[in-house]
Amino acid sequence: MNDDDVIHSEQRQRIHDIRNRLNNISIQTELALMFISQGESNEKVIAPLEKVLLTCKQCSEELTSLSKQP
Amino acid sequence: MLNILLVDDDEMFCDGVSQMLESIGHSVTIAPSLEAALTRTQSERYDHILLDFMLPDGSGLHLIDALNDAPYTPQVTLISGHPSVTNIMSGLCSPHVNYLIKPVSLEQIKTALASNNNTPDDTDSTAHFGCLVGESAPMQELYTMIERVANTRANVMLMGESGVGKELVAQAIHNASNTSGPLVPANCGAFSRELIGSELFGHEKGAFTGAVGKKIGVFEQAENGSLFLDEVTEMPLDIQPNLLRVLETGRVTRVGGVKDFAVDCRVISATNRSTEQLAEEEVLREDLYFRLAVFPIQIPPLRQRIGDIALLAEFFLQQLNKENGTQLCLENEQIKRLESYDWPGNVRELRHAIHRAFIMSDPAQNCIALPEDLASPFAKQNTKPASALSAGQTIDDVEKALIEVTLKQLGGDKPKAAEMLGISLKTLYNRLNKYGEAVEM
Repeated sequence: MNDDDVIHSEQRQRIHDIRNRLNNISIQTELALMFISQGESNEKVIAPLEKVLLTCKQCSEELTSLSKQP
Repeated sequence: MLNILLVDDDEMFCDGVSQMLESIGHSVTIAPSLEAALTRTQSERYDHILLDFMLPDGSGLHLIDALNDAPYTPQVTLISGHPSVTNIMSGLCSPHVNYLIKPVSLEQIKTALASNNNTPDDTDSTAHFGCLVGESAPMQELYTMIERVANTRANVMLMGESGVGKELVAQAIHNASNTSGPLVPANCGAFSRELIGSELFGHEKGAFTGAVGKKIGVFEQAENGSLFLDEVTEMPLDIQPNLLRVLETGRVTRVGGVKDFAVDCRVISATNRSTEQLAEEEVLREDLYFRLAVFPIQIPPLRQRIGDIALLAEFFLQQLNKENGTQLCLENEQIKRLESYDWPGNVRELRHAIHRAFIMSDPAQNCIALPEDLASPFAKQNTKPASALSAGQTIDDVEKALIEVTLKQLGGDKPKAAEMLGISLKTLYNRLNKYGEAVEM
């Protein structure tokens, strides 16, 4: 495996990680929507939304790191 | 309820999906690795496995291989975040294996689970009395009425707009009645005037030209069951006394027969006219109305039960998925669009729209493709403004309005308007002059 292959492999892994985070944002948002439609308490609705915020931040950091790569 | 194994190394994803699935009644076990999944499947039987394609200690395909040797075949839904492996996963698809691409929605997961052959038919379990779908307040009232009347032998008249599902409500009443006989449907609007008596009451051999044998009518066919007379107001007025007599006496005489005999069935009739229209238009004898409508039931139009649109759309889509071996789903945005339309053709129109969208869907996508414009040609026809004619208008007023409408439709093209109105161009100009060119285009 040459250097280019290693870089591409790392990039693919990072893109995979970002996709997973987007997937989590989607699922946690749906969970919050479901709790709202079921009339659940604010605490129960807020928990997945906090995960959404955290994952958005992680996504942003990943993208920043990816854009700094040569 | 399904016993589901969720195999994924992403803790947050597993936590979210398991909460969702448990809230809709499923039991979920999480396995964060291939090894954990293999151990789980050896010790417990699962109905459905949601399987990440790439796990930290191997591919999800290894688990599918291992399941081939298992004494049972669970349904497997492969989930991957790599669109590049779509081709590989679609190649693995079989009646027991399907796939989803991340990000996945709850609707997609629910649709994938709905394809599970290891469970009773979901489409049936969601239906009240085995055939009615809807949880809205108007439908709950309807279910209560069906339950109450089912315990009696009273005749029922179903009233509601075209497409609301009158025949299904008749089926529901019949199902809830626990009778030994069948439900026999008969459309009074479809019988020819000459044959309606024979269709309803039967005929004896030689009763009329062409009566080569004895025939039993729908009343006899529905013995100990229910007779559904659809479009009962289309029955000719001169036949109605015969029906009234059967309802009053509980006895039928076949056409050409001399002897009457007892019949025992509940008559469920239906009309798309309102009670006011029944009275005004004189399409049903008053005495017959009171015999047929011992228990009248008004079926709500779909626009009065918007909350049921998502359930119905999902129900129809699941039926189509089952018939075609697909796992297409509806997105939340699509459901909102369906809910924002007023469905003048009611449930029949919604079903047609879902079927059309199902056919139009892109095989590479997970969702159906709703058209830009949901309205059917008939709906558009119905939404045209009603005639502005009313008593007290002068002929000049009406003529002026007609010219105005015609010119507007033709973009002000006077020769074409004259042709459409059936008058000469000169006459059209004369009329316009007469109205002082007040006709606006």
